Amino acid sequence: MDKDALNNVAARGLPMPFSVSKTRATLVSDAAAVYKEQIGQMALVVFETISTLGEVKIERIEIVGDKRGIIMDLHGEGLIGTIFEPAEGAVPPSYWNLLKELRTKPIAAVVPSRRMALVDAAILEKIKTILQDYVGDFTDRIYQNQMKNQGINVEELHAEDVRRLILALAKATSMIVGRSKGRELSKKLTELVK
Amino acid sequence: MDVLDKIPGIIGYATVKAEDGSVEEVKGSSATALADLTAYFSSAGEAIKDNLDMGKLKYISLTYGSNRLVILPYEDKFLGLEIEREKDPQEIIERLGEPVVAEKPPVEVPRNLSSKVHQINLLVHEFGAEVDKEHWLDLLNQSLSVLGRDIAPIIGVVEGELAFKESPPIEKEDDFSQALRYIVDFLVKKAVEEMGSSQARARVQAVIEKMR
Repeated sequence: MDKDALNNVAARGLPMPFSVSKTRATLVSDAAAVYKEQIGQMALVVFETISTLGEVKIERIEIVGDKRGIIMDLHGEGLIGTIFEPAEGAVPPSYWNLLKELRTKPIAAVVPSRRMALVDAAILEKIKTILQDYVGDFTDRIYQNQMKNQGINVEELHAEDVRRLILALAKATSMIVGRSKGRELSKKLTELVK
Repeated sequence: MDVLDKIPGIIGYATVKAEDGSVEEVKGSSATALADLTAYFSSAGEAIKDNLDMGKLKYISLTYGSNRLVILPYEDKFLGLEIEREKDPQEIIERLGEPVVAEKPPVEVPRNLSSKVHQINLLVHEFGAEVDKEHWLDLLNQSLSVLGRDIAPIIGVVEGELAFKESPPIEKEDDFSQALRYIVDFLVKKAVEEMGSSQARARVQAVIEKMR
């Protein structure tokens, strides 16, 4: 992605688009140039907060004040977003659509990450089989619920998704059959992705 | 903040003090670490808001999986409310501003669902007796979180009882019925695990008697 791509979506209605990679490379559209420094600082706060929390895969962030708002779409390589002036009601869907479009373009100065590696979806069946030993009749329900909760896309399964699913299943299993069993399950499932 | 228990659409919530980020309360059937998310992101959001001169903070929304967490400043606290991903944060903020939740139209629940909810409440009461009800309400919330994902936004523990917060959609009656059946199974299995099969059976029998 380059500045032209950001200016292009700005011309099509995204007020002040920007992108920041995890390596802190900050790109801003002309409209957002005045905020470049603050955007870099904001991204640092977001990346650090997310890494502190770890377990939850946050995909979108909205921070809305009465004068100004900011929305961000997060993915493996960094974040893209826009600053805007809030109106009544929800953030316009067109903003999210334009950000999604931008997401298909690689962010500048990207270092290839582990997030990019695709995993064979057959691993999910193995996970389910092992889960069955722990939660019996509840298997299908727990599995389906956690797949939905974690927003797992079987067509595009990444190692990070599988790890997240394993954590979620272990947590759910702990609630059903106790923590020690949950830990045991987590250990067994983690073996599958090593 | 017990009023939050009654608002349809809220799966779970956390309240943290604005001053130091300490957690005051976490309730509901969310499987997410709501307190941590609320505490960390309220602080991060405040810093970002000041840095970008955004005016008075209206809300922060974090979207993850099938849900989102809406964080709002409220008096000297931040509320973190988990709702479904598709819901508009502004809508839930407006609902918070409504004066009396009880003024809404009466909740209409099909007989088979209300009967299952009644059965679950009796089981919790019977298993928890007088001394252990909180523990069984916690288990009930856990089962909602793990087994009742689809129904959690409109059913929850309100004033110590499982209750519908709004009428369930007719087309989802089977989903609700199935989820409630799983919850009954879960509670009975837990009872067997915790008090032995004969004691559990006796208490389940007592519930059956009460339901006749």
